[in-house]
Amino acid sequence: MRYKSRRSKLFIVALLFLFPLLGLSQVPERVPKPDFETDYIRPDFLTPTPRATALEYIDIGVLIVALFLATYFAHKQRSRQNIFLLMVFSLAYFGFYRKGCICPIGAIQNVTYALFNPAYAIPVFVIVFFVLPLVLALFYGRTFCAAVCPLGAIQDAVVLKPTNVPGGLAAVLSVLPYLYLGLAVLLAATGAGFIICQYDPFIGFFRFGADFNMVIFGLSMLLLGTVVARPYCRFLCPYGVLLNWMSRLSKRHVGITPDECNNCRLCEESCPFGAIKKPDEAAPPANREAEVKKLAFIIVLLPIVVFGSGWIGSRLEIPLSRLHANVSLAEEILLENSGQRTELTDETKAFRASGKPTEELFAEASAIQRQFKVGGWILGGFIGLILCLKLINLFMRRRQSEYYVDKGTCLSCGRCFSYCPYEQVRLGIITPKEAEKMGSKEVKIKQFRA
Amino acid sequence: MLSFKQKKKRLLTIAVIAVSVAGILYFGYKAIRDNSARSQGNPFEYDIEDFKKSGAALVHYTEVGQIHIELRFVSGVSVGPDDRIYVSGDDSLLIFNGDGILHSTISMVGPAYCLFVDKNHDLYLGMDDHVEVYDRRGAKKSSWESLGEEAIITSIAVSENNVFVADAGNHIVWKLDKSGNRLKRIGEKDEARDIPGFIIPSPFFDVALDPDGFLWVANTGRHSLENYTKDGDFRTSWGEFSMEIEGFSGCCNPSHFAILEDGSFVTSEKGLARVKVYNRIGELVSVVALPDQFIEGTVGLDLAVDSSQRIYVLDPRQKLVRIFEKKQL
Amino acid sequence: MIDKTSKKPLKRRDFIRKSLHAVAGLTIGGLAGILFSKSSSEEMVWQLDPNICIQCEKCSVNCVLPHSAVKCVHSYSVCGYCDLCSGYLQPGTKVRDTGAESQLCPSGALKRTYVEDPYFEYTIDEKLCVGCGKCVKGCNSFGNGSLYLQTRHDRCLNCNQCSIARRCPSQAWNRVPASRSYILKGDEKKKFLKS
Repeated sequence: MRYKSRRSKLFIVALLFLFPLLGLSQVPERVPKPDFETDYIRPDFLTPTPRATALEYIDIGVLIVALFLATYFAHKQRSRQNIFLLMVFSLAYFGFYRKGCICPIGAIQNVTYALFNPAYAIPVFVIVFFVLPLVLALFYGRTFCAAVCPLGAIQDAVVLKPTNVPGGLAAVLSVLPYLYLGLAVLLAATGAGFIICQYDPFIGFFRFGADFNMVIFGLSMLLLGTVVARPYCRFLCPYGVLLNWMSRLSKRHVGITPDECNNCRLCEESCPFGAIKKPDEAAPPANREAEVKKLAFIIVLLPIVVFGSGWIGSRLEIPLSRLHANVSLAEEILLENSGQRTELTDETKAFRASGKPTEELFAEASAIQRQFKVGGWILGGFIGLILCLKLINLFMRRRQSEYYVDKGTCLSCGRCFSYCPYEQVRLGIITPKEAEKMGSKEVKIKQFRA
Repeated sequence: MLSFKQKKKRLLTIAVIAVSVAGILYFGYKAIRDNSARSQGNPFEYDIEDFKKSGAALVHYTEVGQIHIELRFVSGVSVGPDDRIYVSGDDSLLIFNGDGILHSTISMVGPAYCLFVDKNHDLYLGMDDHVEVYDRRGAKKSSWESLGEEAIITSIAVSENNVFVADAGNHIVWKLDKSGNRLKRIGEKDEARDIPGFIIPSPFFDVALDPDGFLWVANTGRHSLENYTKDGDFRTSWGEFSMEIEGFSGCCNPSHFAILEDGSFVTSEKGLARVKVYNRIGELVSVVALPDQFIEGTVGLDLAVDSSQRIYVLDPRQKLVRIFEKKQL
Repeated sequence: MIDKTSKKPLKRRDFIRKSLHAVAGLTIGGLAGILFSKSSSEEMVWQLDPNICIQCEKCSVNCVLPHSAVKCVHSYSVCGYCDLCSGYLQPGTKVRDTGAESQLCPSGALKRTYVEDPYFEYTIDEKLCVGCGKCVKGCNSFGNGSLYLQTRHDRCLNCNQCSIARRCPSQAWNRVPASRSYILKGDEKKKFLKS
C-alpha cells in the first residue's frame, strides 16, 4: 500500500506534534454559571498528584547502592549467599514495590524514543537506569544481572534442576535477543510502541495482575526456568545484548577461581547458564588450513549475507509498519473509502469525528512506512551481521588451557565459586596441598559442600 | 547406560521443557494476536440510535446547497435583507452573495459569537461580552460598552428602534437602544409578573422577533420558547421535553431558532442534531434535517431564513452553511 | 569483535581490547550526554486528553489494575447543574429521579444532590466508578461536557508503556510532565495550571 504525498517529512513531523495540541475543536470555552440564590459553594476539585519525583531519586540511590553491593559481593567477598540475599531484596524493591517500572530493559525504548522524537523529554532517572548498569558492566561485568535486575531475580529464584542447553541450540537461540533488541528499537524509534514492556512476561507478577495470556506466558516462562535456568535473560533479554557487549570488554571480571586453575574439572557442571568454557586443545594442523579456508569464505560471504538479510528486513516494511497506529488506521480508512469494508471501527469513527483531513493521515502513514523501510534495512543488516559473526566465532579457536568464564554470558551470580578447590583454600576450609590433589583425582563435589 | 532413576529424571525434564515451551509459544502468540485484534463493541455504549430515527416520516425539506467556510471555527449565520449570507467565525466575518460566492471579508479583533443584519444593512456582532456595529462595507461604526464580567452574548435581534441581546451569563435579554444604551433587563425571575426566569446551562440562548414584533426567547433549560412584549412582559410559552421528535431533547434545547414569514418557528437541537419546523402555536409540522445528516458530536446549529423561506443551517463541525428548501409536493 | 586469531604476542590483543574498551566507554558517555541534553528532571506520566476522547470504554477494561485508574471527573465550573442531566439519566426516561432504573451509570457512581430549584449537584464516587465513560458521552452529547475521564494519579502505576494508551482508538493518550498531570476543563483547568 502506498500513499501519494509530496509533502516534506519535516512538515509531517511538525503536524504530528501539533495535532494533539489542536484537539477536536477550537471553540472557545464559554460556560454560563447558574445563578444560585442559596449560598451554594462548588466543591473542591481534587487532583491527586503522581508519585513524587523525589522518590525517583531514592530509586536511583537504591540502584547505585545495589549495583555497588552486587559488585562488592561478587568481586571482593565472592559470596553467593550475599548475592542471593541482595537479589531477593532487589526482587522485593524493584519488582514488587516499584512494580517493575522503570527498568533498564524497558529504558532501551525510552532512550530510543528520546533520540528520534524531539518532543519527548526523557526523565533523568530513566537515563540513569539505562546507563549505570552498562557502565558498571564495562568495568566489572554483569553484576547487575546477578543481583539487581528484578526480572533476573524472579527467574533465578526458581532455578531448581538446571539442564544444559546443547551448544548448537544455544547458539541458535542466542540470536533471539538481537532480533528482539532490533525490533524493539525500530518500533520505539518510529513511535509504534514499546514491545519490551508490552510483552514483559514477569511484570504481571509484580503488579499482581495482567492479561490472562500474559499470565500464562509468564508462568510458562517460570516453569521453563526450573529446568532451563533464566530463559528470558539468556534467550530473549534485549538489554542482555548490550550488557554482553560491555561485559566482554570489562576490565575486571569475576573468575571461577580466586587463584589459578588446575583443571580439576570440579566447576565444569556448576554453571546453569553454560558460561563456563572448557579448555580447548589446539586443532590438529592438518585441519587448520581447511578451517582457515572456510573462515575466509565466510568473511567473503559476509557482505552478501548482510545485504541479503537487509533486503529481507526491508520487505517486512508493510507488516511491521502496521504495528503503528497511524498506518493501520490509514489502511482501514482506505478500505472503508473504497467500499471494501462497511462496518466502521472505533478507530475510524474517532478519526472521522476528529475532522482531520484524510490526506494528512495518509501522508503521515506513508512517512512512517518509509521510516520502516529504512529501519527494516538496518534491522535486517544488523541480524545478518550478527549471524555471520556468530559463525565466525564457531571457527575461531582460542588456545585456552584452563577452565574460563565466557565474559559475555557470565552473569556473575557466583554459583561456581564454591566448586573451586582454591576458593575452599581461600576460605580456609582445606589446605593448598589438598587442593592440588583435586586436580589429579576425581573427587566428588559433595565433599566440599558444607 | 542410564539408570532407571536417571531416565525418569531426564523424561521429567523433557516433559517440563515441552509443556513450558508449548505454553510460551501458544500464549505468547495469543497475546500478540489479541493485541492486534480490533475492538468488539462497547457494552456500556450510550445508546440514542433509536431516537435519531424519530420523525423520518415528517422530513419535508431537502438540502439544495452548501457553502464551505474556510475558517477554523464558525459561530453564527445570518441572512441580510438582500439575501446575502453573513457567517461569523475566528476573527472575521464572511459575506457571501445569494449564489454562495464569497463577496467580502471583514476582520475584527476577537471572535464574534453571533450576528444580526438589520434592514439598513448594519451588522450587529455579539462579541464575548459586548456588541460591535459595522456598516455594510465593513467599517466599524461603534463598539458598545461591556455588559459585565459575567456576560456571555449568544444572540442578537434588532427591531426598528431597539436591539435585544441574549446574555447567557446573566440569564437575561438586554433591551438596548440603537446607540447601545441599556433600557431594560428582560426575563429576570419575577413571580409577581409570572416570569419563570431563564435556565441556561450551556452557552446557547437564542432570541428573535416575530412578524408581529413580539420577542421570542429560547428558555433552553425548560425546553421551551417564551414570548415577551418589547417591554418585557411575559405573554406565553410553548415546548416540552422529549427525546422523540415532538419535543426538545437533552438537558437544554432548542439551541437556536429562527422565525419564518408566517410566524412559524424553525428550531435546532444539540445532542440529537435535528432541525424542525413548528407552527405559530407550537405544533410540529415538518422536519428539516435529522441527526444522520450531521457528524456525531455536532453542537450548535445556528439558523437563518431568507426571503424565499429557505432555511440556512450553520454546521460548525463540517464548517458548512447548508441550505434547505421545502420539497415540492 | 576481538581478533582472536592473532598469533602475535598478547600485547596486540591487549591493545585492541583496551581501545575497544575506550570506544565503548566513549559511546555510552556520548549517548548519555545527548540524552541528558534532551532530558527533563521531571517524571512523565500518562494522561488522556478529554477533548480527543471518544468514550469507547477501553479505559475501563485495559488498565493493568483490577479497577482501572481512569475515573470520571467533574468540572463543577462547566456543569449546568441541570435537573434533566443527560449524563445522569437514561436517555429515554420520563421521570427525573434517583431510581436505579432511571440512572445511566452502570455502577451507581454518579450521585445527585438537590441544591435549589432547579439546580442539582452531581458528584462522583470514585470507589464505584469503573471509568466506562457512559455518563461522559451522555454529558458531552447534550450538555457542556463537564463530566470527563482522567487518569487518577493516586491510583495509576505509571507503567512505562500504558496498556490503555496503546489500545486507545482515538490516540487521546500521551505522556505529560508530572507537574501537568491532568488535562482539565473550565476554572479547574485555570486553577490547576496556576498551582
